[in-house]
Amino acid sequence: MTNSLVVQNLSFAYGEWPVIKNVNLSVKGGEILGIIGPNGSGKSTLLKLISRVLVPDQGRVFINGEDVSLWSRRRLARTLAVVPQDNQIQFDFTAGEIVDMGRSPYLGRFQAMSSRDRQAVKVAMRATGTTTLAERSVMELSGGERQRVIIARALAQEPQVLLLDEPTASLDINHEVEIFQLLRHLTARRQLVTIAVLHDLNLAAEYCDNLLLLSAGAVTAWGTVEEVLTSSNISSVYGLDVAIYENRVTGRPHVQPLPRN
Amino acid sequence: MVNLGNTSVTGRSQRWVLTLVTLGLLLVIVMAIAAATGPAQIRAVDVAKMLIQRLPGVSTPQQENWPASHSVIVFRVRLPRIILAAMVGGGLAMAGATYQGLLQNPMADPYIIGISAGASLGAAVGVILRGRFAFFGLSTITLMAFGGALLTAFVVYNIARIGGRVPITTLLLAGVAVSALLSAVVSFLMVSASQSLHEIVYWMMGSLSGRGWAHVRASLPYLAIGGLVVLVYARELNIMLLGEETAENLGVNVELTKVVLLTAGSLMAAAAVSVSGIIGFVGLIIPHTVRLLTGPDHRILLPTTALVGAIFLVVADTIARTILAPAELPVGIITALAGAPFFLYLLRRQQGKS
Repeated sequence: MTNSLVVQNLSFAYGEWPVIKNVNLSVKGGEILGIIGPNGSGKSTLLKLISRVLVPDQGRVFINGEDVSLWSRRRLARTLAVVPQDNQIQFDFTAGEIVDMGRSPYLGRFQAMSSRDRQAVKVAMRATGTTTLAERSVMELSGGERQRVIIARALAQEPQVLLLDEPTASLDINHEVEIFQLLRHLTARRQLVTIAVLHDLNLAAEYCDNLLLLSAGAVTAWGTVEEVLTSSNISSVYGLDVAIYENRVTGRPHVQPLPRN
Repeated sequence: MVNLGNTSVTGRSQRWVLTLVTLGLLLVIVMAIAAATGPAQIRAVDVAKMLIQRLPGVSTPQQENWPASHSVIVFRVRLPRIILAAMVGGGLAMAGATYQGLLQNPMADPYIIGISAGASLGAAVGVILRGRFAFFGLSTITLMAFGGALLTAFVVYNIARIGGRVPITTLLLAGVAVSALLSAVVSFLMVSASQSLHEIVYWMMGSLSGRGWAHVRASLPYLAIGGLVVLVYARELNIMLLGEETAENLGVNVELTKVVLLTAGSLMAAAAVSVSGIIGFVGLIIPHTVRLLTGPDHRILLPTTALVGAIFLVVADTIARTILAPAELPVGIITALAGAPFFLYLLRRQQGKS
């Protein structure tokens, strides 16, 4: 069975202030959906609603056809993993210990990790190239290394859905490319449903299959990269004139903001 | 890689067991030495023999070559106090480690959500009322302090609760504000009932003077249950260190974990404070010191902290009752005098490394 995630009529308000308005989307296994939009458009909130850190006022989220609001937190954690935006870890855990924590939704209260759990950790670390970091303190790792460790922790959950909130926001361009190539590879290989909130439109254009453009909590455009990244869409949402042309090296659209006159 | 292979995980478990066994033995030795220390000259060997004789199922044909009064001093006076010191020290240190992990705040100690202020107010009212009622050998002051501590923790928790969630920052601030309010009331009571001033101040400094088996029996259930609950939640505490959202995404029921751990920590702290007054620094410094040695993993941090806290307070209380004998110092003075410089030393050394 192919994995799928469907969001139906999702709405959410902080008090009286609507943040997400009637959002619909669906993602298939093996596909990366990029959520783009200006600051405050509700990108991170949408991600938190899907992961049920926030509970929607209206609407449903289905994973493989099942309504996740009926699931326990632990069951959700065995199906859906999140790579959060801010991954500063202030405590002196080793990278191996951090990845081990990805197995906690599988462990009973008095249960130690089994060889099956260790195998999942091993596979996750190998897939992210973090095996050699296992004994290092996470506080000593570089930003790129730490992010790969966090992705390894998410993979150790053996999820079918992977959510990422600006996974490369604080990284150098070499690490950015490295992380996104890893995500492409993992998404295809494991048929993951991958959803990433992205700030950088060109990064989204390079690595996502589909895009969802949010504006003030509502969907302005949803479709392939070419369908969403049009100069009229971008200029209406961001209030900025842009030129969009094909990147001659990669063949993907490239967004060039134009100076205002 | 190495830590994932079976050999090294076993290695870690072996190291943990070794640490705990060593500290457990050290605690027993320190307690025996403490039992042999005091104005009456009793040899440590005799203390050991007395203890072995009392063990169930042991009937030694040995001669008792010590005066009967020594046996009374050890069993009625010194031993209950030493055991209580170990329990209070262990309980405070463990509650401190729990709060520091849960609140992700290095300044957190067992008193931070108002336990000490609430207990002080309860104790002060108990002193002033000259309460005549006693319960299973516990004074009014002890009972009022326990009630005051728990009630305060409960009130602070509910003030901080907004729509089913308890944000950590709100909890800390509510604790600080309620503590300030209650401390003001205690100060007012001390000024207006000046004949009780000395007794209240002495209680607030923290002391184990004159405590007996009744106090051990009364506080043991709360300390034991609180301690067990916290140990059972050690894995959740580790995950909570990564932040509440991440913990939720890893399947932890964050709000439930908070309630359980705050309740367990408050019970331990309230039980400790009500039998010993406000002994500062143990709950703040011992967890930090131990964390530098064991790392942040609560599965080893919590039990190690309990043992080190127990050892520390037994030693401190022995000093408190012997250094100016026959007068006694409040043990809270010793813990701060000894603990603060040592902690500052560790802090400087740690800063130097990074």
